[in-house]
Amino acid sequence: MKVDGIHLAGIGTYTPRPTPVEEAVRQGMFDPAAAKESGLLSVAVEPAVSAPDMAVHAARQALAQACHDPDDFAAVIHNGAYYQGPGHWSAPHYVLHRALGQPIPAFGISHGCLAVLTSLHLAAGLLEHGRPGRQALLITGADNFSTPMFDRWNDSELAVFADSGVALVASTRGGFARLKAVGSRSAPELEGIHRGNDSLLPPARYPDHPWQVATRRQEWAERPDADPRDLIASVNRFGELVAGLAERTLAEAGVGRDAIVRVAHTGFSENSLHTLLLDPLGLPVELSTWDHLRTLGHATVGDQVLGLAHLWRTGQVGRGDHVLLVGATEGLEAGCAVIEISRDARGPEAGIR
Amino acid sequence: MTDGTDPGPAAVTTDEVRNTVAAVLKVAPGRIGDDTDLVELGLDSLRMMRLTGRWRRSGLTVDFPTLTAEPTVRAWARHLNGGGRPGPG
Repeated sequence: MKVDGIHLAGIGTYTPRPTPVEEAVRQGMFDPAAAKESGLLSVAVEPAVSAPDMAVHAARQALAQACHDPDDFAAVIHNGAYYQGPGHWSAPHYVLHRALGQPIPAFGISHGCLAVLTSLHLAAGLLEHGRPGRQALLITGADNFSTPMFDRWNDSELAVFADSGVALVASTRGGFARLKAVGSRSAPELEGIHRGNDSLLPPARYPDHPWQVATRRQEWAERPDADPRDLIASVNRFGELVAGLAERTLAEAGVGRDAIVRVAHTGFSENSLHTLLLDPLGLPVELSTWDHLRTLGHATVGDQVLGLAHLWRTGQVGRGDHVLLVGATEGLEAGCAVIEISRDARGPEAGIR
Repeated sequence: MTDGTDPGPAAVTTDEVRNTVAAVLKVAPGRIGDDTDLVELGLDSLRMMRLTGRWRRSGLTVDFPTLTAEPTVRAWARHLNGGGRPGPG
């Protein structure tokens, strides 16, 4: 979808001190062969600060940069792919209360690792230029996997799950970047890959729904009438999905492929990053944020914002540069956005880093 | 991705491909003929991604969809040596 008049006025990040992969291997937490295959150097692990609290930290950073009045905000969208707190309780209101304290709507989107990109998509509908109380949107995302119930290192062969908090302020007024297009496309026939043999009723045996990504994928591959090529076909299907989506989103943005300076993407481990994203998109790794994300791991809802923040703050992208944001989630679904940087991170107009 | 017309690394032999696949599948290389269907033999998507990664890191141009289109030692050696890529670009 082509977007007009939506800017990124603030960006915030909370990344805990990363745990070196060698240390995880030494402590027996990460299988040594898998560690080597992953290409990761370290993974962000936060033992003490909860996901909603990391989101609040990131939100305050983004809000300070954005310089919007609290009255300008239409809503807070707070997202997490994993446990945020007790059931029947609102983490989005927890974040809203501590970040903005306004009597506005607060909610989250169930969209796995695309939730933040999709929140940006919603900004176009929630905001209206010049309309009081509808000029800004606070988007946050955070996850924390620090529990013995979740094996972040070995749960999935495609990625190692990291802890982080991120925030964006979308604004109708202006900002350090402009959103030009955003959207996603899905292959719902492949939803079963992330369901495996888990039942929809009665509720799953684990009340906290640990993921067991690898186990469920294998169960799907072994379902009745499965073809041995099904998983392979799903990889290729996803590649087609993301390639087609990127082409469409670039066209909507009116931006040529050659104008894309860098790409901020999912924090996949090395092999899956290439096979699922870089190769189908025809992107060399030098344009990616692999160098940064290989030190953090897969920050579920936060990868693209962490990548964008890193690129912008370090001056790797500046005014006039176009950045492609791309992600993936269970469903399967691919998401994409094209932004243009409006101002450099350093210099007289720089916001808070 | 384009066909490798640069000199690049030394040509990859079918035996080298066979041995690499055999190690990943944990079977004897003798069980893998040049035209054995590697998927039928048990090569799954994750192992294929791993192989793709390994060959890429060694400097070869490799494309997962091409490997999956014809999963045999013979076709893979051809592809790794810069052979033509079937199917749409």
